[in-house]
Amino acid sequence: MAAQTSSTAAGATRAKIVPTQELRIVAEWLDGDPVSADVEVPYEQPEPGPRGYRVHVVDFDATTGRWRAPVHIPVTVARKPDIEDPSLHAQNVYAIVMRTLARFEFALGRNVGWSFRGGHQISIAPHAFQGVNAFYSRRDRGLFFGYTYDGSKNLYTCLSHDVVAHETTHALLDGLREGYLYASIPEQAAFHEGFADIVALLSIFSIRDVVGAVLNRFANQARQRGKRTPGARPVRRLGSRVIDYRDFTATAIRNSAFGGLADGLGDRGAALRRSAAIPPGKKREDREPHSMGELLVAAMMNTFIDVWLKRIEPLRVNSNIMDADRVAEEGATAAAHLLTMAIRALDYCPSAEITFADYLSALLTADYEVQVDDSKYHYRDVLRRSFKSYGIEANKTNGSEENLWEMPRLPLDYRYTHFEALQRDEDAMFRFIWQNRQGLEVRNEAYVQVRSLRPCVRLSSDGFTVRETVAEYVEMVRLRAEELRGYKISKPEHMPDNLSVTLFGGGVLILDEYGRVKYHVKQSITNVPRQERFLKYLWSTGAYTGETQANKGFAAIHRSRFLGAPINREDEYGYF
Amino acid sequence: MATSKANPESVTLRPYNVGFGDCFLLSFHYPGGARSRHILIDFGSNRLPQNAARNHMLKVANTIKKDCGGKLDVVIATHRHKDHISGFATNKKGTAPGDVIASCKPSIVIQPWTEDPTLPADAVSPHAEAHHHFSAALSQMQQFASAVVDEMPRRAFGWSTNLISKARNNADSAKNPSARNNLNHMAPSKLYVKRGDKLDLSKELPGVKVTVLGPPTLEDGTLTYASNSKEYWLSVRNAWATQRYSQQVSKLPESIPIEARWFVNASKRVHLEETQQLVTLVDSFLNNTSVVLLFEAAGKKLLFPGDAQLENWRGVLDNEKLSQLLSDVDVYKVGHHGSRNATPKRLWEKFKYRSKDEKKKRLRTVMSTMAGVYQDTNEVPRKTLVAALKAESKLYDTETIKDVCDRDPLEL
Repeated sequence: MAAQTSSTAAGATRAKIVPTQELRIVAEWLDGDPVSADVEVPYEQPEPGPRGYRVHVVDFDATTGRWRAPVHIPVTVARKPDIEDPSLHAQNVYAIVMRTLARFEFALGRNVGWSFRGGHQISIAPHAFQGVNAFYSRRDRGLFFGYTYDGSKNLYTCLSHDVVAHETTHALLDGLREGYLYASIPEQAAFHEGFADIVALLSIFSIRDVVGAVLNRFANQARQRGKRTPGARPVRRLGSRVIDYRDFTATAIRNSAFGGLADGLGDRGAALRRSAAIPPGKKREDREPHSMGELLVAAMMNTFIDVWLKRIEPLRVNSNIMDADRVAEEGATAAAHLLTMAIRALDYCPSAEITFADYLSALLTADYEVQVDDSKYHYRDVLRRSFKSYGIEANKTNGSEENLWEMPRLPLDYRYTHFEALQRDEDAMFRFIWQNRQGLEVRNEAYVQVRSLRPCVRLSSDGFTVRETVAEYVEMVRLRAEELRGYKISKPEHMPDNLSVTLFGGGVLILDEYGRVKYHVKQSITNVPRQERFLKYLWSTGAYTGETQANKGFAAIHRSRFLGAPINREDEYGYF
Repeated sequence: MATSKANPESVTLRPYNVGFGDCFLLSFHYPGGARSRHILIDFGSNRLPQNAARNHMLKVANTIKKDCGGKLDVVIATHRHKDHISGFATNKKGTAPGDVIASCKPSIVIQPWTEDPTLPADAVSPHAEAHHHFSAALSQMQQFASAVVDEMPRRAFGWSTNLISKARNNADSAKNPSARNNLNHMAPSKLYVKRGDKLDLSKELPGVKVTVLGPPTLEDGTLTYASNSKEYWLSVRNAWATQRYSQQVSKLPESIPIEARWFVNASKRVHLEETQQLVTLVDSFLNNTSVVLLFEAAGKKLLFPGDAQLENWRGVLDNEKLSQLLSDVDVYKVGHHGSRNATPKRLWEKFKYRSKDEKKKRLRTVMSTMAGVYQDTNEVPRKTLVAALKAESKLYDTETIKDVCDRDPLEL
């Protein structure tokens, strides 16, 4: 309970605030079996549903037309959960969505909204329809989880931490960067998918019970293969389970530990396992969004393995034997730290057309801001190396450190604006941008709009709080294709002269605690290679003739992943 | 082409009116009174012509039998959609249209590689297993379409006539398995083909060169699926195997809480869209298994692409050598009944005999279609395509045919 009353000597009562509550969820599936865990979620007393301050679970099955009555939480769940219990399903989605939301709010230091205009409560259908698909729909302000029957048992996507966290991340990312859902280069769709998988995987590994179960599996397999690790049996001498350091290599983790993940969900888990286990050095020329997204996931998971291995080195005392519980703890800590970094980077991401290189710059810059000294575990170096080993080229910049975003090049005019207003008043921010349109390289003819303005608080490495303000603005220029010449942009082959096209640009401004712009992540309207690539891709995939799949939402993207649908490729310029 | 006794001197084509579907008899005629050779390309219908008799397809079958003199040399079933193979279905009495076709004793039946009942016997190919899973996935997809069709009488809300037709065409209804079974057994020789296969039909079709331009296999990489690995296709197959479209088991209670009603309606809409997208997906999958054949004989080039869509064409258009073959095509069977997605502009522009000048040597196009089955924005035949066909080629449209066939065959 949150607000408990306690008697003092004087007889008065005072409320004791408990910020979180524990709920039992199905945290992972290993080799077909559910692994339960108790996770902490923000405290509240929701209405039946559960229907809380951010989440509303509506258990309606559109295929069968079945309606299930709202559920009261907490639901009591056995250690070995009854996976057919629909009230567990409701609690599971509620808890994982709330936990993911809390992770975002923790990392960003502020409340995080669902999407630009989406309201405060997201609706969730844990048994939305029969089918392997699950997706976030902005239009419907909801998350939809399908379920199937594989001939012997039901498979519920709502019971997969991976799937629920993945879809929740789509919804949260959409709230932070609305532009990422608009039709654009394939790398942007790949980023949405890859980032959602990264959050899903790292949030699982940040649950100690799950890392423990994964290690058990690892230890058992190592023993079966005649490795040195004496299995999951407690070693009496040490009083706990142990792992041999020499067995615990990056390859072993990739193959064995990741190998059993999400197994129990039919094939929905296969894609996730595949991307987590891609070894470094794998480069793909393929521009298909999922393959590309998988590389991003692999780069982050490889970073996780590297850091984890670094963190357990000191656990070897005089021998190679390590306490498995401590290994698990270090894994969970590394995952939680990387997860925070991954989410914090979003504030430093461009407003549209994100590339993996941009994300790497955002990751490095965001981390640099809170942790200038990276000498202990070298997170940033490991990230650079890992991204490079998967063929992801970093931006060449002149920042304080390699690949970091740069400061604005021209001096900015801070007169006539007020810091207080700049933090929360979009009109004040617009005035600032407009009066600095030269310094910020904003085009005079563009339609300019401040899309979001977010003050945030972070904890600095010196123990002090750091205030930052993140402002996102977009620029749009709508013109006829023949007018592209004026921007030195070549129009795609066969595009009619009179076709109306829109050029997009914009930027993200990070204001420091004095209200000064410390980073300007700019996408210039006049960046010719970028615009040509964008126009060519959209034209070739039929975006201007209504044929594109590029913006048909996550239902379509996920369908191609699981049901083999063909995906968009650069190709035709049109049909009759 | 040098003429010799063994080479055909002329080619004719008989398009039959099957309503919405394909059915062509392609005949090669030889000098000196030698027996003509006949190829039946598809025989199916998804909607019979208006005012057609109930036994219309039987009439078509008997007409084919008469036109080929009781002997078919080759039967081609481009892909397993109902509007291409339903006529091959048989019945126990042996009086169905498919029985009539079988009685013409075709020497060879040509089908796409996906129809090969022995997949993956070809253990030589490293992709054999992936192909096996792909083929099995196609069956699972059709079962899903069937479930949707079975439920249609109870939940037609939100289904346009286009989508209903599409669902029916993809359903694995009672007739399709019979037709497929007949196709797999009616001839002593069966060929399951893929792009690049070398066909030796010199016995059945002397002096006729046949090039297989489609369908592609998974390893071609032109189908733009996420992967061609066997693991991927096993997972896709399994995913389709679990797709369900159950009957509605219960009525919604009157008392759904006010706060949940909006989302319940949203869920219904989402599910409807999801189902319709899946049906469309199944349709594309099957269309892209179409056999695409190029015949060369008597100085003519004839292109028969079934319902191949862009993904199937891509591998030809991107390949310089293959796309070169298309430039001097004389006759083009318009893909997919004249729908938007089967004649990409890039393909159309390859044909060099396109011309507005009726006096010049001019491309001939043959379109088997029926307006009104697919309407509105995705209408079939596509108006803009028909306009281009009429402007730059001599178009033969099966809609102008009365009854089964009311005219002499086309001299090509």
